[in-house]
Amino acid sequence: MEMTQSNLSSKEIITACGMCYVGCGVKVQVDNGVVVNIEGNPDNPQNRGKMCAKGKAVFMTHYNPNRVKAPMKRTNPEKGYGVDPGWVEITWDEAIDTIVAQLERIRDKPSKFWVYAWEVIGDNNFWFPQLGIAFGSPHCGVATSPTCGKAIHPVEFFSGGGFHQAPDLHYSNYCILVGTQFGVASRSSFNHNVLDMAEARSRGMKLVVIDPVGGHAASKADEWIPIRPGTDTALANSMLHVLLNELHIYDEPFLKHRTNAAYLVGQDGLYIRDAATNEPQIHDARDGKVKTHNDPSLTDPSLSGTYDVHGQQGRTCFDLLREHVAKYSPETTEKITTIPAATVRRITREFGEAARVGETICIDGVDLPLRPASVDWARGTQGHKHGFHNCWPLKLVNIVVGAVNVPGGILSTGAAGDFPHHWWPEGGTDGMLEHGGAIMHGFSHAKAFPGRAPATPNRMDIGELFPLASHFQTLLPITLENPPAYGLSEEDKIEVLLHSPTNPVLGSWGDPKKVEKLLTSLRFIFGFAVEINEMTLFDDIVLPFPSSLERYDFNCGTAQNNLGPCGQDDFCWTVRQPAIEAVTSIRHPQEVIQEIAERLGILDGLYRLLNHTYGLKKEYALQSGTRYRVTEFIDRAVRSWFGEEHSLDWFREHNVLRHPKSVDVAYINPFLKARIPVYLEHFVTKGKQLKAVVDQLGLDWDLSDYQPLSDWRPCQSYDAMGKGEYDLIAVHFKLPYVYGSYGNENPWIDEVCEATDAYKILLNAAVGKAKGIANGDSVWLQSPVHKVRATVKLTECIHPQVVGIGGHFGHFAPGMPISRGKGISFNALLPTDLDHIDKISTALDHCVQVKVYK
Amino acid sequence: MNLTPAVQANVAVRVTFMGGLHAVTGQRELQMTFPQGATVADLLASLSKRYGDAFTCRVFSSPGKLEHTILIFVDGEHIKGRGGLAATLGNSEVEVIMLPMYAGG
Ligand code: SF4
Repeated sequence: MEMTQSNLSSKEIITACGMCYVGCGVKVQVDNGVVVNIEGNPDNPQNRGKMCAKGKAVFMTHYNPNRVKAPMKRTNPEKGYGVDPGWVEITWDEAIDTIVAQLERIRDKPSKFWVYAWEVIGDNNFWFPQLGIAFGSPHCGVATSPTCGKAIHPVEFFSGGGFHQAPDLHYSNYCILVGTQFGVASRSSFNHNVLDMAEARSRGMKLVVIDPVGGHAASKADEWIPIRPGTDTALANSMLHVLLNELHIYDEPFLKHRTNAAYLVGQDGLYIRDAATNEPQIHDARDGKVKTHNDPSLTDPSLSGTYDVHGQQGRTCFDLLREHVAKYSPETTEKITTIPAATVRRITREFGEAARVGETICIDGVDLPLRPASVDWARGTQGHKHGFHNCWPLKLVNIVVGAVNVPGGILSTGAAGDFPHHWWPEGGTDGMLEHGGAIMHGFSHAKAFPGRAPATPNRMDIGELFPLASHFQTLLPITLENPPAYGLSEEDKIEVLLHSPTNPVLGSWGDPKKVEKLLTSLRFIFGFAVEINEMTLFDDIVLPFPSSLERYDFNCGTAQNNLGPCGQDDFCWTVRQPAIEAVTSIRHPQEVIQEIAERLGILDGLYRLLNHTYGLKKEYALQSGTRYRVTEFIDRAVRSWFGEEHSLDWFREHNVLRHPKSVDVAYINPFLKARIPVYLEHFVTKGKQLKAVVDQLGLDWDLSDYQPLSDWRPCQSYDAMGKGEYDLIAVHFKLPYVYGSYGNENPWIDEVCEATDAYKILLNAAVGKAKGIANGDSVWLQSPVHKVRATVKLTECIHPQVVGIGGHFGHFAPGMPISRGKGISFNALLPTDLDHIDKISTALDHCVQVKVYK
Repeated sequence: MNLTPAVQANVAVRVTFMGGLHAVTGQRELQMTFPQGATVADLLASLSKRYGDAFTCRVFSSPGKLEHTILIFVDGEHIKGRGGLAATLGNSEVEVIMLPMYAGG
């Protein structure tokens, strides 16, 4: 039959992109069952009709001829890099029988099950870990990176109230980005952030980028300031010193009433507490009395001074901070950061003046503080041996001028809302912000305040020895080497792993030899996969994962629930629906998880957890004894959240539900009934408690980072420079068209990478010249643990002591013929041991000494 | 004839542990009895006694205050809606769940 235009079936599906966790709204054109075009949905506030290159390329990922489309098992029991698993296709019944048998085997020792659930593009981020929790395992988590999120979430929950932070580009006049490419080339929601950033710059906002690499963000900035990696603490403390001790620019009423700056601290570094209530105390300048922070008569907290409290000399947190940062004059830190003292003074003055301390703005009839200046930071500052303290004082720069959760300042993402239900951050211990807000009530988020009690570990990742950290999976290759050192036995070793369709081999740890050892130590691995990547090579059973064009998700990305648009941009909810039907051999993972849970007899437990996590009202809750199609689950979830009229059918047709944000939800700080810290008193207590436990275990750990105010301490690479064979520090940076290693096998993304030299390593032109290395030369790049061949791109736009490596490349899996052998894997260069782990956050040091030679 | 049911001296409680607590208790389930009117606080006190510090330090952030990763359901209902630790136990099914951290990066 001849095909004519008239008998082609053509439809447009409104859904959410799934090439990263932003979940932009898209319209997919499907002709005769084939996706032929994809456009941004202008009605969706996440992206306002725009798309990035990754999203545009989605159908090349979907139509990848090497996609996994049916369950497979390995026939070669030997595992390791370069070992052919000998895949054979099997039925779903055989796959699930095998998985259930393996889990039955460890039923009485459920901590031998590890769920690696990073699938932040959709619902399986919640479904996978719930299976592990219902089974009884402590080893379930959705974190993946050895750096990203290690400091930002803990810091943000206790100092902002939400999951992440973002400069309020709607009102900002001065924005400093440190180790992040926010609004240009990285981070959540960057389609709308990119637009906001462009608008802010065109109306005159000054953008300063401080980064060892002058990359995409720097190219859009008014000023790029190269910094030596791992020295951000020194920079931040200098900025605080200039603001507090030289310029005397700080928000006094804010510090007095909304922070712990006036809390009195004794000689031991702890709050001086009221004997009767145990609450911290403050000196009230109005009547000269010392009273508890929550005393209703407290009127004018003293920010400075020394006060006698029942024979104890109490000093204010503010004085301690000011005195502490005085050690960090710009002249002192210039030698550490390589940023000229005059530059630090200038940008700090510009920042302080731009903050317009004391000014207000009226929005929708509500008077609010206006602080149109912020310092933002993210991944680059976190990935260090002292990662937590490398970040926290940068947040303090915002706090001292009161630029937190007010117009123009740094905003907490996803912290509060009033639709479809109410969520809001709350105070707790010592009157401080303790309970961050999250739309998913059942989401157990990262918390560093008040912290947990350290204990002898029974977790293989020794999470108990990191009482302030938010996740611990980075430690597994290290602890596996010697479990008895941490009070664990061979008996405690993890045996079975379920993983999401990501690539932890390239992205989650460092030293590849240790990663291989970890994965080969596991008796049974089953994982979902889109393609056979380096992680899948270790699997015993591979399960096909539907592409984002053939999948349903109630929650179509972390950006939707935790990283949505800031300020007064509309709240929105989008449901992902298939543009095309998957082949019958691909099943929805949520349905597979239910089957496994039912076979194990833990379906009720799974439902209890899911009902709680999704906050399903009673009448919509998943019921014992029933299994649900994914569509039935989503229909229940949307009707529970948005009312009967908003069924799955409504979302199929309209897809996006918007709701305007009120001023108090957009700018929470003036309405928050809790204080935020300038002094981390609980670090002192946790440090002492932890010392007792590590001493008992006979561990010789340096716990000096458990201090209430941040000091700069060098990473190993800093000390290694110039001392021996290494003369450069390698750092990693993000590319706007690469999301982890996800999408690397997409031919269009590969083409963009080729065309932009993304696969090459960046070396300063003068350094290259001195070493006799020319543009395009092939060189050896060698760290203490790994040596790899790389192609050099010489540039002026990189710190002279630094080698820049972008993306997550260096694939070697045979199932990835397009990306195999291109670029390098940065993580593979990283020494992976406790000496390179931040004892607060578990971040793995991401600046590593290297040498480059022909 | 007296139709008043006999006064029950005790209530039977079936406790299920999920998440990381299994590694502390070594058990997935436990049958316990309590005097009538016993609360969740009594149940936790009893569990603390049974499993010691390893249990207490993981469940409480300070005396009487649950760690934020701990969820407790009594007969399918979150104790938040039943008075928190003061929630009374009937012949109940109690689930004590230790959620791992979720937030990613
Ligand atoms: S930002 Fe992410 S979700 Fe949006 S179009 Fe790009 S890949 Fe898709």
